[in-house]
Amino acid sequence: MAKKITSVIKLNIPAGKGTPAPPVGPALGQAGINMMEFLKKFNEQTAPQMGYVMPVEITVFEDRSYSYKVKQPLVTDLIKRAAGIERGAANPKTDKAGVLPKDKLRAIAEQKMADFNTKDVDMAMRIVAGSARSMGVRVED
Amino acid sequence: MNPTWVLVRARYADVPPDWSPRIDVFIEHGAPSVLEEEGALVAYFPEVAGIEEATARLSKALQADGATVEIGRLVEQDWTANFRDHFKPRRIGKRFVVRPTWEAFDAGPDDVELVLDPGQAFGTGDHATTRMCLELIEDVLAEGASFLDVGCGSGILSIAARKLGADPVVGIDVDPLSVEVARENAERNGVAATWVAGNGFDAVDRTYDVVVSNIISAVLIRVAPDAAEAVRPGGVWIVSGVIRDNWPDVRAAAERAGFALEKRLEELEWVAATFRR
Repeated sequence: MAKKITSVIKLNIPAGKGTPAPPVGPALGQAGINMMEFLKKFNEQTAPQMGYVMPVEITVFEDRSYSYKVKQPLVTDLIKRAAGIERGAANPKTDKAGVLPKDKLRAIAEQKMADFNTKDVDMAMRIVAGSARSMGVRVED
Repeated sequence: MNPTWVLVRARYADVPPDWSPRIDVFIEHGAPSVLEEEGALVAYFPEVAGIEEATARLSKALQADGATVEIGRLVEQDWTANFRDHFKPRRIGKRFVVRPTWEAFDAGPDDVELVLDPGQAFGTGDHATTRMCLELIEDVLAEGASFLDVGCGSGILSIAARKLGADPVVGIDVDPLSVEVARENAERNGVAATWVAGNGFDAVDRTYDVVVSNIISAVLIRVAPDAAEAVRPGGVWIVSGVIRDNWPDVRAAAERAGFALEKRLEELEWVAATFRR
């Protein structure tokens, strides 16, 4: 029988470098789960993606056991890497931070499709393009 | 007294299909991790001098993006012990030992201890870019060399240089909070250095034997000619913070400015290098 879920915690933690500093410590401590065990597993599992920030969803059950799912890196991080920039534009409305070729946009959309909860690649591409625009990155064919 | 953390919560009226641009605003302002709540994002910053200015800058950026911002405080509690257990003294390069303030370390005669508080946002010496910089500095620095650190952050590189005998040591950062943290860290390490809040090489009015810039590629490329003016002939410019893909452009900019590549380190996807003028 399925265990009863008491809470779902959504965190964004740097790959391989999670620490108990807040918000991680208080959020997991409050839920009563073994934080150090979680962090050790998270850091080991995400070490190959060091440099990215990883969204992770932790499901906590009634008996304080938990399961977690590490998602694909933040879209903004994937865009930065693909466009070869370290930062988005400070004023995305007026400044241009870089250019994202259409094929790379598609690759990011495909990588994030499951996280976006869609099977429609065009829709995923529209979401990624919107995020690129909001950081001053222009999409080009 | 337990350290205090400043909480910044941004509430949004709408739910975007992708939260990452909003999360990115926090990360760009130095938040290590971000919690997602119902219609809101939350991050914490260690309370150090200058934190008001830093959170004001973040609040402004969040508000520009349509968020309602709440600022609060959190006193570090029982998770502290665990948090601290996580950080042990660690070796970097041949001689450096980075140790947290609360850990003792039995240093050998050749060891150079760097005492830092990893509760702070930057500069635990943990990042590949910092580690490689320390190794390159250790490589080239001679006793009595003059040392300039542009983009000093927590001051870890300047403090390391001073401990290896560099004199004078000057650290510059565009972020006044970083300059304040660097000053505190230098005091904690019992070393004297000059700390300046300023933009790039603008405040530099002499040449140095060793200049270090652990920044980002775009800035390195832009300031390469200024770096060439700040390095004495025969001196070196150590650069770090470069993603592998950007390395050719950084190298080309340095060479155009009159530098020759002397050594290059690579870890994960980061590149650091020593250029000689």
